[in-house]
Amino acid sequence: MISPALAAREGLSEGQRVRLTLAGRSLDTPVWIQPGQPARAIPLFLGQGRRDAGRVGNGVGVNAYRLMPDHGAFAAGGGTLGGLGDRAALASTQQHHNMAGRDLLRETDLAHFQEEPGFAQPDRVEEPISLYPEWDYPDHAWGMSIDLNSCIGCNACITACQAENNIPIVGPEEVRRGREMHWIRVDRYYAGPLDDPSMHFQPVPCMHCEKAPCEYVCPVEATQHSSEGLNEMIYNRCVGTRYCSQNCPYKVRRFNWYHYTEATAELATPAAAHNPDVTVRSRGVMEKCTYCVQRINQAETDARNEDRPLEDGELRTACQQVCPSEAIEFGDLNDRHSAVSRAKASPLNYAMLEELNTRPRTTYLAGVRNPNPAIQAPEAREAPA
Amino acid sequence: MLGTRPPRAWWLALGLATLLSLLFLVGVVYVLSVGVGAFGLNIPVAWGFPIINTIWWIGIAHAGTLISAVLWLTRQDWRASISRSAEAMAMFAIVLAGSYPLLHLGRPQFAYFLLPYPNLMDLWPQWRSPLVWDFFAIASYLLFTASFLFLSLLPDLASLRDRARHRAVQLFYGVLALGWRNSARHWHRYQQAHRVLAVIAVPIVVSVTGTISLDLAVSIVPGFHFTIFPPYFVAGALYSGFATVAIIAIVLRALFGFRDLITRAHLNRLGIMMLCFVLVVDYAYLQEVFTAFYTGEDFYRSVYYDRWTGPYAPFYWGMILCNVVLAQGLWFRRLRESVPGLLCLAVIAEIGMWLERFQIVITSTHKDYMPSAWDTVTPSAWDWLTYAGSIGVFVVLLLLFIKLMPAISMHDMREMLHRRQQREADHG
Amino acid sequence: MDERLHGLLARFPDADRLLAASRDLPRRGLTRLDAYSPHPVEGLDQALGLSERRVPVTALVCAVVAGAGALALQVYASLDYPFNVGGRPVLSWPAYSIVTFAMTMVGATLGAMLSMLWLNGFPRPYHPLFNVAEFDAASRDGYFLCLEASDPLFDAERLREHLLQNGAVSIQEVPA
Repeated sequence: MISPALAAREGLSEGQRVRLTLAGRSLDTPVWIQPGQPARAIPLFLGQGRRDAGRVGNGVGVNAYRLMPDHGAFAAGGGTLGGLGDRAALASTQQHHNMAGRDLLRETDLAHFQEEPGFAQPDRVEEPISLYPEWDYPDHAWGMSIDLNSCIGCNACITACQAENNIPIVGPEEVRRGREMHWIRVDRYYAGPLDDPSMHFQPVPCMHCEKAPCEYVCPVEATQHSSEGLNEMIYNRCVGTRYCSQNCPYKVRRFNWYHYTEATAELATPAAAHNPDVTVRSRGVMEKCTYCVQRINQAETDARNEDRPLEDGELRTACQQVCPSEAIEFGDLNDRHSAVSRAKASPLNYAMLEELNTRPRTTYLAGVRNPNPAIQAPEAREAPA
Repeated sequence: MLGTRPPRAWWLALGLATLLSLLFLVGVVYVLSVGVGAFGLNIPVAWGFPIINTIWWIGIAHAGTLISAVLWLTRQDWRASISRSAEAMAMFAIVLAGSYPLLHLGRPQFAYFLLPYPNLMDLWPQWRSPLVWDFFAIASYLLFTASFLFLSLLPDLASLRDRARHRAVQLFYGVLALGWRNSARHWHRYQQAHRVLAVIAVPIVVSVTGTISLDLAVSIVPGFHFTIFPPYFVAGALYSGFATVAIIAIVLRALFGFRDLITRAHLNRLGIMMLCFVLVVDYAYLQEVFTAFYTGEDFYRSVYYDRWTGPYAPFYWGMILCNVVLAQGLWFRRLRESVPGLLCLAVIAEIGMWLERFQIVITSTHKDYMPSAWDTVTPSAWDWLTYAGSIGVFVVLLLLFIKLMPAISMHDMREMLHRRQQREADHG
Repeated sequence: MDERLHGLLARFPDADRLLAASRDLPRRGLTRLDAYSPHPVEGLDQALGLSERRVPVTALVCAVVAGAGALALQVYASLDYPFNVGGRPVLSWPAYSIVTFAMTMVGATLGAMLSMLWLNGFPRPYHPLFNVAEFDAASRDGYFLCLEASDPLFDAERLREHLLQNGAVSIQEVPA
């Protein structure tokens, strides 16, 4: 990884291959330009460039051990960088890192929050207007709240979701084309100056909108709203028009462009690794986060069999279960005392793209940062919008 | 066409078009066996060439219906010599426009789910979806055009039957002609049916592309969500449709020597029709920009900035060049009446309209609400292959039609000449 | 008269004389006659007393039935298995209008086409007139009038005279 300043100085663009030379040894590697990197230091990742690791590791990345000094230090100075002519195609799931002035991820610092506690809910309307009738959700009303104060961007939720829901691996070529299958993604935004930005993470699963724009455009009703507020995806009925994905403003829906899951696919997950509670989707169907509906159904069935009500916390989605900082709360909104209801009652609670009136059930708790002045630069930092 | 050997140019054109059609076949087979991933699409840009081409083809079909029906209702006699080829062109364009959505589907084998048929699952189409509206609109348009074409062909099929020199040919046309005897009773009911269909054609011309544009307008995607889309797309459809009719008329003139029947006056009028509709399209371009900025919404504004300066800007500016700048050549009578002039302007119209569909469909989703989801797509070889191939299929169908059926409506021409003689007799 | 005679076929040189003859002969009481022309001739309908409007009426009826049927189908389908689709109401009238409109067009099209084919008796590949070689001209430049033998006032001799008076250039017998 290199900083934009270094890239500009050396005339490098994304993916361009360079030769790094240190103490007589050299390594050829593509560059990945990221704001916030130190201007004259280049981090390299150890553990890549393997040759006997099977399909996960073979040929991925370069072996940075080649540049490691003999005494095993993790940093060394005095290296040089020279551009090579060619360019490697890098696979990344996010191409844009600037929020473009939109208030998708709301965050501020403590001083500003104390001045204006309602900063996360500037246009709050008590009774949102809609031409459409209100639907009742008498039994359970599932909802999720994601605390942006806690999210550290570790990506465990993505991995857990992939394991739980039999999400196929599509490979670097397909990811380059923009066809990754992650049902939950962690958006990473930079804010502030390029050489010293602040970094913000936002996990984005399906919003399960009460007035979902994806539902009314499906010609075969393959996606509808359940009586518990879930936006359901019915794989059997889907004919693959992809209108739902077009109409989703959050772009949380994924499509099986090829038969990623057939046994003979290049990167097929072995059958034994599949979760038997979740359907494996074939070519041509849409899929998306289901709030782990298999777990919801299992918990409800168990509770019904045992003739008792569901307790808050008994049922956890896969992403919620693995989050190390417990940023994700999931539960029944009809239960006033559930953790998720309490989270949504917070003044920090907001929905993304509220103005589209989609009424998402997945909401966020805006971030309030309190940086230690001692580690800040002398000039006051600007809070991201 | 009976008994005359088709000119060599016809065989050459048929050969080339057949090659292109084979490409289409190859592309279709590949996509059906491997998956829709063969096209250059991703999330967020999940719609691309198949939708662009559906809209492009269905747009081309509209001019055929307008010429044969609406211009008939308004008693524009000049349409008589081109109405048959225009109707046929409409028919084949609809066939292609109807096959592209199947290619676009991830699971085309289940396309029948869009049909309202009683089934054990108690499932019906989801009526609020514009794609269901599309299905009905295209199906009804196909049925209408097939009926209208067949109706107007009936008397000519009888003519061909009566002129046939070989029994096999006579049987072929005789079966199709259903026993038409040119009786006054036949004509009476024919004219009534013709009038009914022509009247229905008016809302159809206005509505079918409008319904298809609702695929875009009903969605919430900035860049799609404009109420001007239905009339805008209809105007664009008629513009490209008249361009296609002009190209076909010019080719017929050249290939079959129809210079007396399709005169420069006809070309001039086709050019005028093209001009009318391109001006509506130009107005719609301005309107879109105005609306996008008038909403005050950053989402719409940024789509426009991206269209002007982003990775697909060449497509936008190419569209402006073709449809706004070069299309003004249609103001000049000398260009409209000149064969190379009108041919150039017509080809420019086709290209410009395709670029318009491309940049609407692709740029709107490439940069919509969530910056983290912004991404670009590159059309793949299969996109281009099937597109070029579809043009080949269209040309093959048209060439076969010209060979087997009268390219100019004989009874229409006779009626028009008869009426003209009557008028002269009355005045003289 | 010879029972194997379908009628008399007279050929006229142009539409005007055909029209005149078509006006003249009904005045003399003939009812079973038909005119043949390569294109529709104005005034021929009235002359022969053709005023029925069954085609447009059928088209209208079919259009209304198809449109109402489509609307009824959509309402039934939505109530039969009601879904919560995007929080929209179960009966979405604005959305139903488009399919209803399209089906109305289909109804009118099919009504017009099918009634036209049915009333004209299509398909009917065989007809006595096809046995007359000259009749081929009816689809080119010939204007014919056929007086059927089944008419109560049919009298071949007198009718031949009338036809010649009206300007017929050839008169032939049409075998049944």
